[in-house]
Amino acid sequence: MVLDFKCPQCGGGMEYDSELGKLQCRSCGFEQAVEDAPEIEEDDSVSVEPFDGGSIPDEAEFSNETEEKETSLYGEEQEFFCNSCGAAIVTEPEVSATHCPYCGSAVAFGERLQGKLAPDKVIPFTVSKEEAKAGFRKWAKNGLLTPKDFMTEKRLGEITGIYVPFWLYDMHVNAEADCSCTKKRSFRRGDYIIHETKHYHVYRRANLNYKKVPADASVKLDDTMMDLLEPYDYRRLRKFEPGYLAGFQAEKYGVDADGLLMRIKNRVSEYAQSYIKSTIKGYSTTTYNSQNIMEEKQQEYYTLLPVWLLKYEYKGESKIYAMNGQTGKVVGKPPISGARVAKWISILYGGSFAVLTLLSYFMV
Amino acid sequence: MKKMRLYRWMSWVLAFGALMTWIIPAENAMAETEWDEVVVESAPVILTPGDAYEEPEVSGEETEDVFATEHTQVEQILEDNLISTGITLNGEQRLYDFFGKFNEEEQEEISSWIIDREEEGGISIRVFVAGMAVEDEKYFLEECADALCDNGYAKEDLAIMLLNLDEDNRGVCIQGYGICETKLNDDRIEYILDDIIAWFLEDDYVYGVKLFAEEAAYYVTAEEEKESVGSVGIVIPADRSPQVPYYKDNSFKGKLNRMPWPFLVIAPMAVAGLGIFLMIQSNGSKKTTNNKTYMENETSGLTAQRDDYIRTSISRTYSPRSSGTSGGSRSGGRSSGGGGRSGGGRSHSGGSRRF
Ligand SMILES: [Zn+2]
Ligand SMILES: [Zn+2]
Repeated sequence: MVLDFKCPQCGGGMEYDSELGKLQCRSCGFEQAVEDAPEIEEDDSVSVEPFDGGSIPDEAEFSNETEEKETSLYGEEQEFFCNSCGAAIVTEPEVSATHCPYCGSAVAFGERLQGKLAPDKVIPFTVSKEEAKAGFRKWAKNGLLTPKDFMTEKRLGEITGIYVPFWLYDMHVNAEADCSCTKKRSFRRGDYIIHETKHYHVYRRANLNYKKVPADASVKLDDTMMDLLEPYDYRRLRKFEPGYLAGFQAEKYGVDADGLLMRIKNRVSEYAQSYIKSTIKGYSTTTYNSQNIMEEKQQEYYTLLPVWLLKYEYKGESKIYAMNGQTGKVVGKPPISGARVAKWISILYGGSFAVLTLLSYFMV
Repeated sequence: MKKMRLYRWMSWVLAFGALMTWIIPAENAMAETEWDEVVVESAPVILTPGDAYEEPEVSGEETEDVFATEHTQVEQILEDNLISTGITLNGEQRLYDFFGKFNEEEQEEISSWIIDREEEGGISIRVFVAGMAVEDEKYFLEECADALCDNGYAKEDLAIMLLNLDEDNRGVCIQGYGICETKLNDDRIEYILDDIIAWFLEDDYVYGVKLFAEEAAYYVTAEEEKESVGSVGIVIPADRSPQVPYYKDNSFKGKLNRMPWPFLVIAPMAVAGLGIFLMIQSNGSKKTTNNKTYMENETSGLTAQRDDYIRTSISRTYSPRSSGTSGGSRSGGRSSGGGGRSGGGRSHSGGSRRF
């Protein structure tokens, strides 16, 4: 089922506007609240209680040696038909919203946004496309070693606003540590220096709650890059409505909530350890006798978070730069310009040389 | 195209570096001979009336306490004698005896002696007599120097001495300001202390103070060939007088002047290398989350903690306070670390000794 966002007034295509926080018609400017945009219609298939497999005996037997089946994590590639122009839209299997490549109108694919795939929450874009371009340009300009012609208009024209699937976890952590600590000081008594070491036995137990720790569930995007985009401001976290996707790309998750839990457990475990460490103060040395960290998942939310992506080929390598679609933070390693490095070396060398020389010359 | 630009920059850098390395050694060659170090190994005291003296043991107070001192005693002395406002300091006086050590006759003798020495050296010389804690001495002199110079009662080129006659803290402290900071550097103050301490130990305070003024003026005017100071009949031993044109200048300027040219070439390289390293390091994105970002403060915290004291272990290492060299050239090690900066912002050399 293909969702489109038609203007109730003129029938033109509508898109989400980050400044208005509403849908706006591209032809007549009509504004519409996100909640009023078309909803995903419920599946009209009959709902049934699942069979209890245990009570049904085997009726046939097969060998265990089955040949490996090609199972796609993303499900089958599927064809959709644009409501506006009728063209067949072939998309990559993880895409849940995009533009029709023929008529440009915003479309969302209901099948990839409902049931288990229905997002709980979304943070809408607050950085518009123009602001994103300006942001990338400024970022490239601020890089002292970044080539001048790095962020060209042509490259910037290709930025994509994409809702990236994330799992947000509420985690509860019980942490416990047992340490041997010392306080050391030295002072003089006559001709001797006295070294005094006081020994302590230290214990800490903490109860820690971490709310909405994010992990990106997209298979294609680099995890560390997505981690660097954090933090998002959760005060703008909204209940998911398909209307937010109008005019942007969106993806469905490629890894389910349990698949990312280990990553989050490791992350909050590190947080808890550094918390415990921060409570052991005033000692010269600390040795851990034992440390116990128990992480427990309380809840998870399937959430779409806004990201501006800029991809391009550079010397045969495909490079990706990302911008937090809410805060404007840019992530990625810009190329280093040899000419600029040389320039800075000569400036620094010449400058400090001149300063030292002048100092030694004029201060006689 | 890009390569071309890079090479052009590089060649500029190299050309500039080569040019500078050509110029600098020539500039510095001069300076180097002129500012060579003078390390006088031994300095026999020829006028020692007593035997080599033992440095009294300083009470074993913990070092931290020294830094916490608030100089209340000094403030009291300054106030009692109205020094802080410059009232008792005037242009005529050279000796300020707040301790009542010298009678009028002696005071006059010392003052007129000092005035003559000032003329010789072209500096101001002042002597204070008071009683206070050892830690206060340096601060006291700094305050006095500020008061004297601020009120125009003394030149900025000032040699100043405190004779501390407090029963438990008998000692001398000397500081040099202005030109005296370099001419009367820490090393030379040590030599002066070597000489005058002996007289204080013999209770000849008048002579000790006069000798201070004599030697201060001598060192300020010290030139290559000058070997003796006539007036008091002291002969400065030959190995004491500067053999090499000048003395070791420990001030900032002096150190800078001794800066060897390879340093001038290599240090900027290090600066440039470090700068580029930092730039490349910061090329990319920094993490903007920490362990507090997702923590819910209201529901997170310690639920139990213990910090149980178990025991104290103590070890000690032998580290004698004074260098105590045999042969008795120096009567004792430096007890207070020389120079510093006064509250009024005047930097100075200095040294002190117990007796
Ligand atoms: Zn319209
Ligand atoms: Zn279409």
